[in-house]
Amino acid sequence: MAANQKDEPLLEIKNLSVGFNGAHKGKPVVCGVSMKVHPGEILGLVGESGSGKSVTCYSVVRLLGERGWTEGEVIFDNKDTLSCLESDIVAIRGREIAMIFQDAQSFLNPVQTVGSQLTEALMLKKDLEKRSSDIFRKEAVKLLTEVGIPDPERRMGEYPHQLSGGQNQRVMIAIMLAGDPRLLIADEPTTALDVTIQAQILRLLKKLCKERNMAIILVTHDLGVIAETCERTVVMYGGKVMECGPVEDVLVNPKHPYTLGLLSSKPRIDKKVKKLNTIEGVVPSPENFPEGCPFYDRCINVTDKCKDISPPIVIEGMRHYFCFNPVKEGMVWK
Amino acid sequence: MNSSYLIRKVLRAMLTVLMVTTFVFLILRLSGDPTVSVLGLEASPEAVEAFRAKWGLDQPVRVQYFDFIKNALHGDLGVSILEGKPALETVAARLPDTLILMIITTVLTFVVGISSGLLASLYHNSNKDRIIMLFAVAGYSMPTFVVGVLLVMFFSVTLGWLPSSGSGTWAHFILPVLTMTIVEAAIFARFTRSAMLEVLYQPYMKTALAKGLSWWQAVRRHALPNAAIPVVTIMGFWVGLIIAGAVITESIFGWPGVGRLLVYSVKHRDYNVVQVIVIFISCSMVITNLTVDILYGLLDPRVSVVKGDQ
Ligand SMILES: Nc1ncnc2c1ncn2[C@@H]1O[C@H](COP(=O)(O)OP(=O)(O)OP(=O)(O)O)[C@@H](O)[C@H]1O
Ligand SMILES: [Mg+2]
Repeated sequence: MAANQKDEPLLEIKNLSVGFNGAHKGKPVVCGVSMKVHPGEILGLVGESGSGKSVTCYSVVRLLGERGWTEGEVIFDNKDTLSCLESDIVAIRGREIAMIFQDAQSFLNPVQTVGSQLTEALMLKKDLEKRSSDIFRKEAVKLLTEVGIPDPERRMGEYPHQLSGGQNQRVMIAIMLAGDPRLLIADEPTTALDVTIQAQILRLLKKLCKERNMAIILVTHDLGVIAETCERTVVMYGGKVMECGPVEDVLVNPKHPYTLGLLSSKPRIDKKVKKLNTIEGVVPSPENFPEGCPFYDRCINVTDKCKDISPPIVIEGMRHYFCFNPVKEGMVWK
Repeated sequence: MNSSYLIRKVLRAMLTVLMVTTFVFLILRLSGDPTVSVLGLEASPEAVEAFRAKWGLDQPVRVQYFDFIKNALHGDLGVSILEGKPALETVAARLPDTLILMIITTVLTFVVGISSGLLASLYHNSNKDRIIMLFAVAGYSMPTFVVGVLLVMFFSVTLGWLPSSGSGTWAHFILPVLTMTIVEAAIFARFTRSAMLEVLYQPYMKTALAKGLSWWQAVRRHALPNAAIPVVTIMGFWVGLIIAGAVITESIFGWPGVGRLLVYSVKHRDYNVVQVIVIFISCSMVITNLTVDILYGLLDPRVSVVKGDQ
């Protein structure tokens, strides 16, 4: 935390809790999550399925749907996106904070051409009357070229079902770049794609981040993706942050036993292991979240306090974690 | 959408009309003939025989059928046994009254049904939604004749405001139109609402908002075009509905249209008139379905591609 103090964070999530009316017995699915995103950085958000990554992302741009409720603050440009006016959040979406999703094809309108979905996004940003549709078209083609769509002129007239999964994701990225946002939230953008395409999309995101100085929150449950793409990472579990810090610290010397568990359940080339470890048990569902650390019942380092008391924040240089009994050097998951 | 696809569709449509006509032709002849209706029960055997010979009813059904087809192909659909005029003329004379009824009903149904369905979906789970759906379910679950009779009881018998039967003045239109519209608008409202609700929760609506459209822009530009697809597909079904509605409504309100003529002609076994009406009905349904297919292909790019590949 100390390190990036020099530049103001672009986005700051403060003590965010999220829940859904009429679901999970009124219990929140995300409880007291805080994190910062700095301009131009790629922040990895990692955790098992159901840990609340998507919900956290959707709350930032207020897209939880009518049943979702939030507590806490999400500060962007001195504005709280959770409580600002509807017109303010509409102005932020796309132009300041954009978002891409896992299954790009179902997130694209099936009855509109790629071109019209893209120009629509461009027209939102630019002054409609002053520009001819020809200029929008040119800009759309330029964006498609930027995201690496071959033969963009032809693709403009095609529909999402005529494109491959990877191409749809590129189109989605182009649409979201149209507003020239400062932050792109990418919710598992490569999970549905095969490995080569996945690598291409990640490379594209990295390139865009650098060239446009655009920050990215990259959600994934793949630590390999985090290692390759991100500078900092936040590990989430059971609706809470477990630990956070620079990738080379968190992934090499995890402090939270959950991170250690995640790491040892991942096959590695550099280390021969006899048997791939798994973390026993499953992610609890939100109605069963404990007062304390949600990971207590699967943890190898569990203490008496873990279930009932929320571990306080422990700050070590640029990283922090929430654990009473952190991982010691040389410890292995078993 | 290529031309061979279209030709196939048209051929199939013509086959449908032929089959429906044949079916009606046979059923009518197997279930009695017009002799009694026209001559009465007391007629002498000679008179009956002469009548049957005159109309070709003494021939085997097979012969009658091929005669009918041959004449029909020459544009001759026979003469009304009851009126002695060409059957086509008899039907055509009644057509305008029915069409006016149908057109007014259709416009009202679309406007009221679709817009209240839209409203209900956009205010999903609010009181607006609940009230609209209460009316829709009530209208939907009542048969046309019950609605008609209830309206007559209320507006004609109890209040005495509106005529209960006949035609001629604008006041005569109100009850028949209301009867048909209540039932059909209810169906459209329910259908439009569920089509919209389906679409509003699709992932691409999230994208529309995420790129910076306001809620209303997203609804207009992304939800409506997608919800239009299922609504258009029930148009084919709607033609059947409105024809059935017209037959019942015209009978209740003594409306001098084709619907009442159909009931009357079936009752008196006026074969040729019934056949003409059935041809009209099946043609209009077939044409609507063709139109729906074409519209469907235009609205949904996924469909036209599949069909083009066939
Ligand atoms: N609309 C909703 N209504 C009710 N509960 C929801 C809703 N959306 C998410 N949840 C719940 O919130 C919890 C967190 O879900 P979320 O989608 O954020 O997980 P995730 O970390 O993104 O997992 P995944 O890797 O599967 O995407 C889950 O228990 C889920 O059931
Ligand atoms: Mg998710």
